[in-house]
Amino acid sequence: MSKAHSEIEPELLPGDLAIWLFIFMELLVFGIFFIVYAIMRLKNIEMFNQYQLTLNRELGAANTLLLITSSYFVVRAVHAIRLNNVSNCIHWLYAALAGGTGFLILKSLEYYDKFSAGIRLSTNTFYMFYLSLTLFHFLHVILGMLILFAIVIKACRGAYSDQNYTGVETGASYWHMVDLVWIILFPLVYIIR
Amino acid sequence: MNSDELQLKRASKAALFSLLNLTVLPVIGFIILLLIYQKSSSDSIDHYYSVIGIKTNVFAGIALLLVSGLMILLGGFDSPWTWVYVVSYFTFVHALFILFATWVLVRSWTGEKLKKNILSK
Amino acid sequence: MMKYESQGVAKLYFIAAIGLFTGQILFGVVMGLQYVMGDFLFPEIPFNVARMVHTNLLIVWLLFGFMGSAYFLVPEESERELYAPWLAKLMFWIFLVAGALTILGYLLVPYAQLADLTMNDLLPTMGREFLEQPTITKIGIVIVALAFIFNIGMTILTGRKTVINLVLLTGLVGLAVFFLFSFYNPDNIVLDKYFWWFVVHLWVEGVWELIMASLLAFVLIKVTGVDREVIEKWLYIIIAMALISGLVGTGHHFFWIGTPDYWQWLGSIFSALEPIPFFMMTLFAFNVVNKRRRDHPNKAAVLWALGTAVMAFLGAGVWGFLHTLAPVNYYTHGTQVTAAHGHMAFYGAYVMVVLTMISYSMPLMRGQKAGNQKAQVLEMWSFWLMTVSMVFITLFLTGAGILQVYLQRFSEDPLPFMVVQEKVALFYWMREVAGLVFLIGLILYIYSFFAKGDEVVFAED
Ligand code: HEM
Ligand code: HEM
Ligand SMILES: [Fe+2]
Repeated sequence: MSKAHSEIEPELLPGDLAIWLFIFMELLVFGIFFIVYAIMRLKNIEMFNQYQLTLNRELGAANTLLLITSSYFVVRAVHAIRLNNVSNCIHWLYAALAGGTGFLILKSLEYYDKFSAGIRLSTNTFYMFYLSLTLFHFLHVILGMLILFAIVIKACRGAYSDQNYTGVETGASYWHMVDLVWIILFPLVYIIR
Repeated sequence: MNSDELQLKRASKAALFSLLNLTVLPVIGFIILLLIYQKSSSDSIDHYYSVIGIKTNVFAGIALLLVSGLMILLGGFDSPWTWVYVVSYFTFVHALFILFATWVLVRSWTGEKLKKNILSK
Repeated sequence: MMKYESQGVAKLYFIAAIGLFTGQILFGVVMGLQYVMGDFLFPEIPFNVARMVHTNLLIVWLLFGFMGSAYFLVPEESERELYAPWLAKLMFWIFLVAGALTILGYLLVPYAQLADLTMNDLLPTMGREFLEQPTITKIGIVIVALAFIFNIGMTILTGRKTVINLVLLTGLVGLAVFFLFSFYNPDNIVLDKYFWWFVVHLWVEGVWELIMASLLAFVLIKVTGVDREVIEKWLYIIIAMALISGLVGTGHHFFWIGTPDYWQWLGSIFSALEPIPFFMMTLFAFNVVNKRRRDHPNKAAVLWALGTAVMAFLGAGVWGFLHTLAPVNYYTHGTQVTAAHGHMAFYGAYVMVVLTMISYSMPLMRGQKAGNQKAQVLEMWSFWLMTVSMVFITLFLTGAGILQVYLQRFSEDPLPFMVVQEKVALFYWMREVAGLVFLIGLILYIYSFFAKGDEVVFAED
C-alpha cells in the first residue's frame, strides 16, 4: 500500500480537489436556483409566459454566442500553453476576456432597458427570478474574468509553461462553468414556454 | 494509470458517494456506491472503502429512518413530544453520521485504512 | 519561545478575554435560573439587564480574543515585530476601561438613564440587541478598531504577506466596516431591523468566518507541519463559499420583518448553502490533521482546533440549516430553536476558535512549547466539560423550542405564550444544570493555566 500511497499523492492533492469542489458547489447553487425557478414557473405558468415575452431574446442569443466563443478561446489558450507557446496563450486569453466584456456590455444594455421601464425585484415573481438569476450569473462572469485576468498577469511574468499549466486549466474550467450555467439559464428563462 | 492508482481513486470515490448519499444525493449516492463495490475485487482498498460506505449508510438508514419511523409510530403523529424527540434525534444523529463519513473520506484520500487514532500515532 | 517579542501583547488581550468570558457565563447562569424562578435577584439584576450583559460581554470578549489572536499571529506570519506594540497596549487599556464602564453602566443605572447620561439623543444608536452600547462606547470601539487595523495592517504591508494574514486582515477590516451600520438608526422600524442585520448577520456569517478560517489555518499549520500551499487553496475556497452564500443569505432574516417577499426565496436558497463553508472547514481540519507531519506536544491545541471545526459545523451548519428555510422559519422564528442555534453556533465557531488560539499561543508566551502534562490533561477535561454541556444546552433548548412551536403556533388551538413557557419549564431546568456544568468546565479551564506538573517531552520539529 505504501507504494501506491507515494505515487498517488500528487494526483489526489486536495488543493485541486478543492477547486473542483468549488465548481461543483457553484453548480449546486445554480442548480437549486434553477429547480426553484422551474417549480415557481409551473405554479404561475401564465404569468411567467406573459412576462417572458418582454425579455430581449436577440440580446440573449448574442450573449450566448459570445460566451460560447470565448469558452472556445480559453480552450485554445490551454492548448497553446501545453505547446509551451506562452504569447499565444496570452492572446487567446485576451480574446476570451473580450468575449466576456462583450457579454457584460450587452447585459448592461438589457438591464438599462428593464430598469428604466421601472422593473424591480419586487415587480413580480417572474422578474424577481429573472433579475436575481441573471445578476448572480453576471457577478460570476465578472469573477471569471478576474480569474482569467490574474492568469494573464501570471502568464506575462512567465509563471506557466508546458510543464506547469494547472493554473491555466483551473481558470479555464471555471470559465467553462460560467458558460455552462448561461447555456442552461438562457433557454430556461428566455425561451422555454 | 496503474491499478493501485485506479483502486485509490475508486476508494476515495466510494467514500465521497457514501457522504453524498448521507447529504445531497440520497439513494443515487447509494446506487453509485453499490456499483463501485461491484467493480472492486475483494481485499483491495476500494473494496474496503465501499464496504465501509455501504455499512455506514445501511446503518444510518436504520438508525435514522427506521428509528424515527418507530418513534412516530409509537409516539403518535399528533403528539408534540414525538416531534421533540424525532427532530432533535434525527438532526443530531444525522450530523454524527455526516461527520463520520467525512472522516472516512479524508482517510480514503491517503489510501490508508480507517484505524489509527486522531490524536495518537 | 515566541518568535517575536511583540507577540507578547496578545497575553494581555487573552487574559481580559477569559475574564470577561467568565462574567458572561455567570450572567448566563443567573438568567438560566431567572427563566424558571422569575424573581431571582430581582430587582438588583432584572432579566433584560442580565441578558444585555451576557450578550455584550460575549461580543466584547470575542473582540478581545480576535485582537489578541491577530497580535500573536500577524508578527509571526509577517516575519517582523509588530508595527507599534505600544499602540496595541494603549488600545488594550482604553478598550478594557471603556468596556468595563459600559457594563457597569448597564448594571448600575437604568438603561434609559444611561442613554440620557451618554447623550444618546445627539446620535441615537442605543437599544438594539447586541448593539446596546452607548454611542460614546461605539465611537470608542471604532477608534480602537481603527488603531488596531492600522497596527496590524502596517505590520503586514511592510512584512511578509501570506494568504493567512491577508485573509485575516480582510476579515478584520470587514468587521470594522460592517460595525459602522450600527450608527445608522432609521426611524422606520423595518429599515431599522434591516440594517441591524447588516451588522449581526454579516459579521457572524460573513467576515467573521474569514477570521475564523485564518486563525484555524494558522494553528493547524503550526501543530501539524502540513504544507502551506495545501492550506492556502482551501482557504480561498472556504472564503469564496462563505461570501457567495453568506451575503445574500442575510435574506433569511428578512422573511417576516416587512421587507419585500422575494426575500423568502433569496434568503432560503442562499442561506441553505451557508453550511457549505462550515462543512469545508471541518473537511479541511480533518484532512490537515490526518496528513500531519508531526505530533505537536500541545495536544490540547489540536483538540481545540478539531473541536472548533466540528462544533461550528454542528452549531452553524446543522442547527442553522434546521430553521433557515422560510416555511420552517415561519414556525420557529424567535423561539427557543433560535436560542439553541445561537448558543451552539457562537460557542462552536467563535468561542472555540479563540480558545484554540489561546491554547496554542499561551504556553509559547509563557516560555514553553506546550503546557505541562497536568495542565494539558486539565485543559482537555475542561474542553469536554464545556463542549458536552453546550451540546446539552443546545439539545434542551431545541426540545423546548419544538414543544413551543407545536403548542403555541402549530396546534389547532394554540396556547398563549406564558402557558407554554410553564409547560416547557422542565427543559429550562435541565438547561440550567447543563449551564452549571459549563461553568465548572470554565473554572477548570482557568485553573489549568496554574497547574504544575511534569514537562511534556518535546518531539523535534
Ligand atoms: C457561526 C455562525 C453563526 C452564528 C454565531 C449564528 C448566531 C445566530 C444568532 C445569535 C441568532 C439569533 C439572532 C437574534 O434574533 O437575536 C441567529 C439567528 C439565525 N441564524 Fe444563525 N448563526 C450562525 C450561522 C448560521 C447559519 C450558517 C445559518 C443557516 C444555515 C443560520 C441561520 C439562522 C437563522 C435562520 C436565524 C433566524 C432565526 C429566527 O428566525 O429566529 N445561522 N444566528
Ligand atoms: C460560551 C457560552 C455561551 C454563549 C456563546 C452564549 C451566547 C448567547 C447568545 C448569542 C444569546 C442570545 C441568543 C438569541 O438572541 O437568541 C444568549 C442568550 C442567553 N443565554 Fe447564553 N451563551 C453561553 C452560555 C450560556 C450559559 C452557560 C447559560 C445558562 C445556563 C446561558 C443562558 C442564556 C440565556 C438564559 C439567554 C437568554 C435567552 C432569551 O432571551 O430567551 N448562556 N446567549
Ligand atoms: Fe444569519
